[in-house]
Amino acid sequence: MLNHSRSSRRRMALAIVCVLAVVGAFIVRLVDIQVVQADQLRAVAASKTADRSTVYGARGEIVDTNGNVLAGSVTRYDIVLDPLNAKPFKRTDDGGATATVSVEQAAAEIGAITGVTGADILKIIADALAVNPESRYAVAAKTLDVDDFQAVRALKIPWVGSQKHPGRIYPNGAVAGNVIGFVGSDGTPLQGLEQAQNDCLASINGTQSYKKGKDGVVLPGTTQTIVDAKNGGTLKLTIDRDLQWFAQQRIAEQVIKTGGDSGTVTIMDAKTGKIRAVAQYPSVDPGNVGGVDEYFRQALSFTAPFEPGSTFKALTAAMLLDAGLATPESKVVADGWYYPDNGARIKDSFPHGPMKLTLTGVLAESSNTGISQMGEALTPQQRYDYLKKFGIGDVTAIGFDAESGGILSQPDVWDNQTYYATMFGQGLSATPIQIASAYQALANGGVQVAPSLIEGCEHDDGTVTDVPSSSENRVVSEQAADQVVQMLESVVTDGHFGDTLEIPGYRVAAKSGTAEQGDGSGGLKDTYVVSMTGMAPAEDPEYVVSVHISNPTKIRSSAAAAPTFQQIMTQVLKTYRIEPSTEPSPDLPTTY
Amino acid sequence: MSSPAIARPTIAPDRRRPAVRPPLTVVPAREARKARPKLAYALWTVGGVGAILIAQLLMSVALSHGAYEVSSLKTQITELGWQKESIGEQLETLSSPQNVAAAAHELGMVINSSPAYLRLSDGAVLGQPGQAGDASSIPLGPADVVGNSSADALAADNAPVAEEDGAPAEDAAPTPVTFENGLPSPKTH
Repeated sequence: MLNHSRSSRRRMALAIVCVLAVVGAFIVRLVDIQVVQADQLRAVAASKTADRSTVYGARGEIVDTNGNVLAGSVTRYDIVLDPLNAKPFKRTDDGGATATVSVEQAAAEIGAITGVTGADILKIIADALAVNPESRYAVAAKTLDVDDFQAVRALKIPWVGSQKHPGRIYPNGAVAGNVIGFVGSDGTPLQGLEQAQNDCLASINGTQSYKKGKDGVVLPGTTQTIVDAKNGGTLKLTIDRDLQWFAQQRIAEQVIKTGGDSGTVTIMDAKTGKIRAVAQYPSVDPGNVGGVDEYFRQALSFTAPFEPGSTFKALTAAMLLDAGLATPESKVVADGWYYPDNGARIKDSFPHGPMKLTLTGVLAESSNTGISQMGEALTPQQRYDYLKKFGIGDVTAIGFDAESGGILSQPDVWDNQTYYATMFGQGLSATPIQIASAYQALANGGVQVAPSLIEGCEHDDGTVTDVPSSSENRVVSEQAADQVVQMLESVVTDGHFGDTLEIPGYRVAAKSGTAEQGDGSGGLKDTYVVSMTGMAPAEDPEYVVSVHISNPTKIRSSAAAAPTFQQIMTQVLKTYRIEPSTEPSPDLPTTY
Repeated sequence: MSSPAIARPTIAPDRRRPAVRPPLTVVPAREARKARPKLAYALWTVGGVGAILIAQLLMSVALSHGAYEVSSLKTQITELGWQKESIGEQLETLSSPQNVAAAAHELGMVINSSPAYLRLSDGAVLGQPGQAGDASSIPLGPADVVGNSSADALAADNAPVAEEDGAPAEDAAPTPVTFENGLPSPKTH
């Protein structure tokens, strides 16, 4: 009895000791796992399940005034290969049949979609393996669109993958391409509004983290946003896409026809200063930047000033009227040559004897000698101040990327020739935008509204920023401006251009320019920059159109620009449903 | 303190009646059975725990199955998104002025070079309507001077597809309809 109980107690003790030992071991291990190695193990576990990915914010669109997309954001795909595992594989088609696909066949299939040969794809694999025999990564094609990407995906090749990234498309090609600018293949904004308005357009990429199972499926409830993606704002322009295309097509046609080397067209709302088209030829297609010389990738209307020539006679006439020094009927005898006392030599563009012209006639005949004699009534400082008020010599409120303000030197450095030349647009330079803007002031009763190219930047949350302030500035009196417009009607009705400027049913006012250009070595080129700038309908101008062709060789005078002006102005009047004029032109006398 | 409390019961019963002590008996089996823990409770408890475990298992199966369903639906969303993107891109390119002008040209349309309007209120003609002149033709000069690489790429993509689609479309041309047996009407139930 006693022996039995003692052995039983000993067994019990042994069992307890064993249990405690086991429990102790477990506790030690538990503490080791849960406390000592906890962080390390957690990291290992996370590395197997946790993943994070970039959530791309979309770069903002650039749209025209009607909301048509000029530059849009899309997703593009790079096709990547796993060279090490590029081996034949079995493919099951939709019918359930399985076939073995060789590497050569797979390469040919990829090549057919991406536009290269199968041999090219095989070379990419071979090259990657030559550099690194263990290579797991080689890019087979870049920036495929979604259709091509899906075609590659449908091949079900196990060693082919993809990487997506944001891309940019320009669905209208070269329409407004020079204004829009473009981005590089990596999305870096390089030129035009893409660059200048990057603050509006740029997006911010976000990051999200999640856990996934062994098969890559995201575990429910584990997705966490670490950084919110933010889309860029929509940049709305004042440009009208269809009008812009029309202007580009017309100027291209005329530059080619006249043998010129480039041309620009500006269409501006006469009441608001909003630019409805700013066309040029040659123009850049942002989707194919390499298709045009680097010089023509800039927006010449903003960046390339030139001596404007006789279009500036209208400004000189406005100054004379505003200062009360002349009327549309003021008289002058204009000869083919004018030799003022200061030693300058003024010549008209065509030989003629003395003509008895009114100020209106001086504009209609575009007489340099006539405007020079009348312009003497103004001091150089007065003319300089007026030109400044017209916006000449200063960068416009648009402040376009690399915009030029042209050249307007101080009157005290004008030499004897420049004293006169500035009256008819030589000896100074201006951009097409400045010229259009100066005419906008004349068309708008003497009040210049700062030109604008951008309506605003609309952000994701609906707020609109970057709306340009429409500052107004009176340049000349309303009467002076209106009289100049009436005088410019005589250019259309009585000038050298026959009916090439007339638009049936409408009163049109315009002024030509055939400007001499320096050849860079002190002489003059034998070709000109020819211009036609004007407004319609003349009784209450709604739009200003300015056409410039650089160095035409087949027609060297402003007659080269006249038909283009007429065609574009006609299209503008149709586009904006502007009613035909009801009153006839005043037909101011040009001679006496 | 406690002595009176003990003393009282020894006296009181004596006063009323003689203490009759019931004979000691074994606790009846029924009572004992009643006192024993009931098996039903145990079964309920175990069953409940089991049910909870099974429910949890089923829920987690359902949840993980749901994850696959979510995943497959997400794939579907992605694919539909691709389709939308592709069609959207095509639409924007097709609506480009170059493309519209080319289509208008193919239809034989020209540009109206003398704008005129018909006022509906009194039927008055505003402006001077005229015939199409030199400036009316489209395309306006060479068609490629305002390039559009997007449209070119789209045209290249669509060219072979159009051919493939073209052939069966002709085969499927509707046969002439005859009215010998009355107006054709769709068969419906």
